[in-house]
Amino acid sequence: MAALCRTRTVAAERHFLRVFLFSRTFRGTSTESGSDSGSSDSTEPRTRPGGFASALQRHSELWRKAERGPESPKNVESFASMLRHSPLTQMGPAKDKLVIGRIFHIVENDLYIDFGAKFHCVCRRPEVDGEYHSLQCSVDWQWRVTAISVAIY
Amino acid sequence: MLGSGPDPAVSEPGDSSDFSDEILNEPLKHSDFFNIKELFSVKSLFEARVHLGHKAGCRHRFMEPYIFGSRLDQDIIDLEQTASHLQLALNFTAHVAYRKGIILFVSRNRQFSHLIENMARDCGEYAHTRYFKGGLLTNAPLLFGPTVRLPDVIIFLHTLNNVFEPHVAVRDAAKMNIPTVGVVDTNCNPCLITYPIPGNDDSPPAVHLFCRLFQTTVIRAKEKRRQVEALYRLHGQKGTQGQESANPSSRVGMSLSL
Repeated sequence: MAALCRTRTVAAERHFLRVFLFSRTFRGTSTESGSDSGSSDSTEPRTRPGGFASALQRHSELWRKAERGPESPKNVESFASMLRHSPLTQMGPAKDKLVIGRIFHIVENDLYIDFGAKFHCVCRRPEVDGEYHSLQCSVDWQWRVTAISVAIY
Repeated sequence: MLGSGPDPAVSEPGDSSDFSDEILNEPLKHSDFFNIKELFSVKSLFEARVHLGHKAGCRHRFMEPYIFGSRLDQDIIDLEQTASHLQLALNFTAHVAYRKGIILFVSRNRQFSHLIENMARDCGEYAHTRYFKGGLLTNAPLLFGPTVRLPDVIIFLHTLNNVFEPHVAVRDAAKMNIPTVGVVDTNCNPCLITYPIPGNDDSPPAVHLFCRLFQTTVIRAKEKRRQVEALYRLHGQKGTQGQESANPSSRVGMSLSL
């Protein structure tokens, strides 16, 4: 009787859990009902923020779900997976790596190159082939350009 | 008020003021009246490099809740949190613009000064990207004149000034009870900002994205305001002409539920 009462209070919060627990108690002997009460004991302290707070939490969750609407969670890539597969992360430590950058500003002999990191780099114009659209530069850990090779597109 | 028609001469010129309460309350009935969530996504924030923070040594202690982790000594900002904060901030800005509030864009980063000023001019609002004189907000009646209207929201594209200290306007806006929206990088203090947006404020793609978002939001909100006013004016005219006792707010509600 006490086990049934406890499963009913837990069922108020989780609909699917209620169905599952009721089916188990119907099958159960005294030992199984004991294990049920044990499992409900473990779930209860986790799902008990307190009257108004829990009601507010549930309400806001339902509200948010209703608004998210047609966007299916399977199509949306999570931020963690995006980060993991991003070129900057895949590159690893920046020492002795080759990156391709784009010049976004030129001031006389200085080239401002953006290569996909947080900041840009500023390099001196190479002597050979002063006119170009994009160039390859290799960068070391202190973001000093160690070498420039020019590719004209 | 609409069913009775004892004084038609009084109701005609005062049309918009009759419905001003309903016009102001209309957006408050929906949680996303201006459809802000379609303007950006976590993917678009990621592609604009909003998640890149400064080195771990520059980290501000109060930014730790917003940081996803640290990769090779560079802090990465959690874009899931950024997305929710950005939604709140843009929604708030849209509501302020809808209610004809004055928006001031503040930044002291010289790289994007021109961009921010152009953006503010294009959406019909104000920007201050120069040296911020002390007392501009706190001593405004003395500096500008006795009847001066202070901004209703201040949006910081960069919270720090050129010496990497918090911008004076953050503290002054808090003193003058002006709500603030601000893009906070990992070396910034998010405490005094009402709607902080944890994100990168140094990369050009990120700043361009934020500028575009704010501009679109403000313009959209003003457009919505014009539409709602026109709608109410139309129904008001129909009400006085046709002597209809039907409630226009319910009709407007149906047409506005897109």
